[in-house]
Amino acid sequence: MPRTLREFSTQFIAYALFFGVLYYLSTAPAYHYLLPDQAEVKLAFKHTSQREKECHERTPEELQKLPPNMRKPQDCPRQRAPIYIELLLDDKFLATRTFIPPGLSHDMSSFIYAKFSLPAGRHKLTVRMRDRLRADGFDYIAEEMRDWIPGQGIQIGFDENKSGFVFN
Amino acid sequence: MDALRRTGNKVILSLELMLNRGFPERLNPFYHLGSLTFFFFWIVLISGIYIFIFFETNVAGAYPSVEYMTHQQWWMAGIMRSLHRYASDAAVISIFIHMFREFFRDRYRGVRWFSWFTGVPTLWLVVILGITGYWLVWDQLAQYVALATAELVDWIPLIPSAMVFNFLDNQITDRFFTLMAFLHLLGLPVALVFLLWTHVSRISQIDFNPPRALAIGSFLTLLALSLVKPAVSHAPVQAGHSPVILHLDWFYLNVYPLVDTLGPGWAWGISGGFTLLLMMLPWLPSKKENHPARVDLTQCSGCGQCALDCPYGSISMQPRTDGKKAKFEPTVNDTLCTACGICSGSCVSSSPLRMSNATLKSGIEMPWFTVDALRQEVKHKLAALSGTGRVIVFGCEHGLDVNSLKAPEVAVVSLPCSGMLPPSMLDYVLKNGADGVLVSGCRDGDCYHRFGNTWTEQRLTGEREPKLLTRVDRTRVTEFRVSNSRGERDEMGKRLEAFRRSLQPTA
Repeated sequence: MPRTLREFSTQFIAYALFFGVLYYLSTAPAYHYLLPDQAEVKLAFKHTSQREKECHERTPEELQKLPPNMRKPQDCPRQRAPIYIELLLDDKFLATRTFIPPGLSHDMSSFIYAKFSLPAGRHKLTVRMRDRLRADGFDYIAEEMRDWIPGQGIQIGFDENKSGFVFN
Repeated sequence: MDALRRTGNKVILSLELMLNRGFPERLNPFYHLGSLTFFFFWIVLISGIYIFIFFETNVAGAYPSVEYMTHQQWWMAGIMRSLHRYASDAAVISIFIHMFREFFRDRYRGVRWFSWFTGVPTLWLVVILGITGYWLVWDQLAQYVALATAELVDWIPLIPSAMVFNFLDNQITDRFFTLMAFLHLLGLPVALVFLLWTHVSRISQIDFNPPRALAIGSFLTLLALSLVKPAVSHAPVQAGHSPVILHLDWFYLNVYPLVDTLGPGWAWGISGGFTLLLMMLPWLPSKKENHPARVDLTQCSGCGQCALDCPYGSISMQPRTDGKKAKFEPTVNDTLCTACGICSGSCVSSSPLRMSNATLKSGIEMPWFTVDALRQEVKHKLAALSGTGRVIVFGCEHGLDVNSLKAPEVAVVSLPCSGMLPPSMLDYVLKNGADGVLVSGCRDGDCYHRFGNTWTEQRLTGEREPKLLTRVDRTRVTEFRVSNSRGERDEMGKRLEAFRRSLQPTA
């Protein structure tokens, strides 16, 4: 226990400093994940892109050269095309992302995950995706006009059966 | 690197000097950072066990159960929850000061590399343990932490699946939640205990408990904080909503804003790079230790005092091999020896009063600074003393720089540790012309070699072998243990002058 005024005041200051650092840094400074007038869009889905090259029909001569157990009529390269996605807000570019298919041969399904913030208010959001190897054009396009509420979190998925984007 | 260490050491010493004025009798918290961290872990463990009683380990029940503790049973479970959080945060503070202090004092290289190296993964484990704790509340902060952690994990190219999908739109399952609870409650704590044991395995006589006064003061501070600012949750997880403002615990969650702003790759790069740098520090550059202690069985009685006194557990007593009556002989493990010389000071055969006409040999000593060399140095310095109030100052290399005290009446002898000084050397010095002896070591509770100053004090007061002989006039011997900070250098000068004035000439 402190015995003199100097000891008491030094200990008080030391413990107060300890208290203060814990008090402040345990919750502050506040982190603004989104600005107060922003909403968030998350792209989140699994998609298998098209093969980079078309399958090749083997000729009878080519088949003859193969061992009997490997004589498949088609020769399909494993590698799949990168998935290219564009987001437009009121027809202006918001963001673009490219996803390389995972796997040693880049032949697996891609897990698409990306998040974007956008201003709250009435806006048109356009999502475009290209999933085959070509320089331009898109394979899937979706548009959504809505009132974006501050703090709203919208997830955009992809329904393989309906072949299109889904706004959740 | 040397300049960085020197500058940092000056800052640390100045802070310690301020704290020493208010925390007497070895209570300076900077001298007990390791044991304080263990104390905070005890608080975390006990409070954690209590709040686990009321905690529901499933997705739907977790948040309401934490809310119940926080608001309805605030007087006990709420306080326990707050203590759990703040003691965890306090542990991070003590760990980081401990780490920087050991770095600035150059106690992380050479033989000591192992403790430093194993401390780095321990730090990771503590942070991961804290992060998993925040998941269990399952509020908006927990969801944010879970998603950002999943982004980090998904960035690793070897993992083809996407962990992040588990946390979108409340898709998390009870099974996954139970796994997180298992990790936080059992898996990670067990791993942490194992790593902590490894971290301290190369030092002996570990003090796991801080002094009682310091423990009480720290606990009361945490309790006061728990009452003034109880730990509360964020809003519950809501589908279709993203968090806007998050009150992050910056002690544990500081990496996540990096994930958001720079991306998971940079977050991995920065934290991984920092970790790698920390782990490599002992070799950037490495420290060349002096040659380890050498045993001379012809002089050794097998008493075992050197093994008792070694602060690093580098000396063990093994069955005697030279056929002498004594049952045991000391064996030095070179990989653990820091060449501090404490064993040499603890050996009764290091007495300079022996073999006065021959080369003095000790049972255990430093080959690069033998007790004979020490006796020769003392002999020459005694011969050079002049005037009245002649004093020999024995100093420690890591405490006050005694060279600043040199004067015609004052000779100084610098030792790697004050614990290397055989008590009989004081007798020798007083018999051979000095009026007094001043022994200067590191600050109380802060010996560079852990126990050197404590053992010296105990030897001089007759509490530890080898004891200072009773015939030595105690008024001619004084001890002053200080650090090398500027304020204490001035204080030492004043103390030395006062001591010299108090001495009567022996003639």
